[in-house]
Amino acid sequence: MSDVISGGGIRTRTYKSQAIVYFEGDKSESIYILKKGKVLLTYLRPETGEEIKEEVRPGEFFGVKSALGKYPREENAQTIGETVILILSPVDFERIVLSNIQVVKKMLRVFSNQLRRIGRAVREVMGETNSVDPANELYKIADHYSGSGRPQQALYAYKKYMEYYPDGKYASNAMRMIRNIESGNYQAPVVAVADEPVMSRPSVSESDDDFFASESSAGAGSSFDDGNANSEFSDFDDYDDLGGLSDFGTEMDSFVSNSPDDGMMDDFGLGEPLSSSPEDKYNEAVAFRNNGDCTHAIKLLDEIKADKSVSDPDLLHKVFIETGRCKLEQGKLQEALSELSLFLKNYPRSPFVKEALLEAGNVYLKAGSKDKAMAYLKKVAAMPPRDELNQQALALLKQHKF
Amino acid sequence: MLLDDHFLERFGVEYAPGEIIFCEYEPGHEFYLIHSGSVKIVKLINNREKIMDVMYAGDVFGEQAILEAEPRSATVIAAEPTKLLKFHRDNFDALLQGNPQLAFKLLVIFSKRIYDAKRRLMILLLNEPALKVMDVLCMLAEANTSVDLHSQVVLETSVKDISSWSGMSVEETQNALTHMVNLGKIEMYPEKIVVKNILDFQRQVNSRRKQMFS
Repeated sequence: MSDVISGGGIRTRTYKSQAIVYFEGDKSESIYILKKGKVLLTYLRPETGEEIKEEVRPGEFFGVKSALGKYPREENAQTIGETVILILSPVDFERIVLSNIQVVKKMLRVFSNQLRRIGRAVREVMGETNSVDPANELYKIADHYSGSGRPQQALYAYKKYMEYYPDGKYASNAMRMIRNIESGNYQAPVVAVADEPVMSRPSVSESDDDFFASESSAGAGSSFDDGNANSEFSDFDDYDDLGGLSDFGTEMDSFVSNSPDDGMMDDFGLGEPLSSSPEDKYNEAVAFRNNGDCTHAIKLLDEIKADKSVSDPDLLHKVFIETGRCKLEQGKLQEALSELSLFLKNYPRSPFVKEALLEAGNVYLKAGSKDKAMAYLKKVAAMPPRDELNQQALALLKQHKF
Repeated sequence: MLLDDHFLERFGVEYAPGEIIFCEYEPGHEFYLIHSGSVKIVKLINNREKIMDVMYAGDVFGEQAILEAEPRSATVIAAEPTKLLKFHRDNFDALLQGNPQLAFKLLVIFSKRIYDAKRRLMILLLNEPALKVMDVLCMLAEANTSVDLHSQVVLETSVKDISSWSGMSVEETQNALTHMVNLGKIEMYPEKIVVKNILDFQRQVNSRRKQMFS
């Protein structure tokens, strides 16, 4: 093997037969051009384990992708017969290809084919045979922005929906939302926050009485007592010490005042499920809740629960928690707790336990039961791994000066 | 700047902060080069907006539209007053001809994308949750060229990230990670994971990969 430095730092190296230019897994920024002789690239096709051999022809580049992408070599490169190779740094390579755009174009074509092939293989492994419907997804994004108080982004997405899918199933809703936003009738949804100032004027919501009249719930008994550290919260169904009715009534008032009353969302209340797949329905339900329409959100969530074909545990768990959240927003605190309690009892090892506990803390906050709220929030704050749920719990604890 | 002024006159578009440049799932025919300002690449995940990346002057985005008319895979929003150059797929060849720098940039972007996609495929093909998680950790370590694989490795990642790379549920991923914590192989912190011996993970994954097809 011998090196010759040519102009601009490009080295010319002569290899004996069967020499290794590089091994799979090596890290290097060098890019190679085969000048004379033969180089064989060998690698295993990931899907099949089949060994692939590719011959580099004189004048061709190799080692380009790993050098440019700064990742380890993906193949072994070995010479056959005496071989002369030019070795380039990325800067040399850039200079050479910039003066020959045809080379870049050819490489881009090769790369794009590779990307497409691998993308297809990934989708197959993931079992993504039934691809998502971009029209529905685009509409959901519009709804998300509308529901999260971002009318301009919502307007863009609704307009794009109408531009590309004027006959889509959400077209009339999209048009209505566009008109609302453009005419200034858009009203940002009010997000119920547990620490809102308590309203002074008491009022009664449909669920106030239920909360105290009924003693047990679906999750009654030794709920959520699976013997682990969580068992200290097995009093989930014990509502006895939730405070007086008058306190509770004032808490309720803030909810009543949050109901959307401008009729803007009427068109969502058709009672028809707008979407088909359970995942779609779940997202739709979240959008309904964001838009202040918990009744329809719950209707969709109930449909998912009743759908025997739903097997994704993550989705089911999220449905339970979302139902609890809707009930909380409706002010149906007992039902919210029942829902969360049932979930915690049935799925004590779900990855969403922390989320459910946080919601339970929110319910108790809403009910004015500070001790219990504190217990749940502290529990969440201490649960590993530290993530945004811990942060939310800590923020609530701080806000309420627990 | 990469491109001549006449490009700015011909292809320049301006966006105000918060304005959407394109939306995930929208069909796409153009790609963009940031002339000034910055943009956020976001995706809705579980109905929450998650920022995937922020791009600045000189960066290119939306380039997948060059290949085929697939829907956009993320939403792009201007993060500040931003000037972009917007190029239609049909002008691609002519554009490259006049702007080899841009072509080179695209080569680099595609190189990275191919590697990511291939690595993801290799992870998904492993048949045990623990191995998938190990291989995600190996990939994250390999991606950082300044990391010394012979000592303990600190990876800025989360259960959710690992779950999305491995194609497993968050619960399954959490279980596999907890098991590794219990064995003393890793330590978990907010937003980071410390791997004691990444080379050991690499060995285990590679050995299984070889067995898979034998």
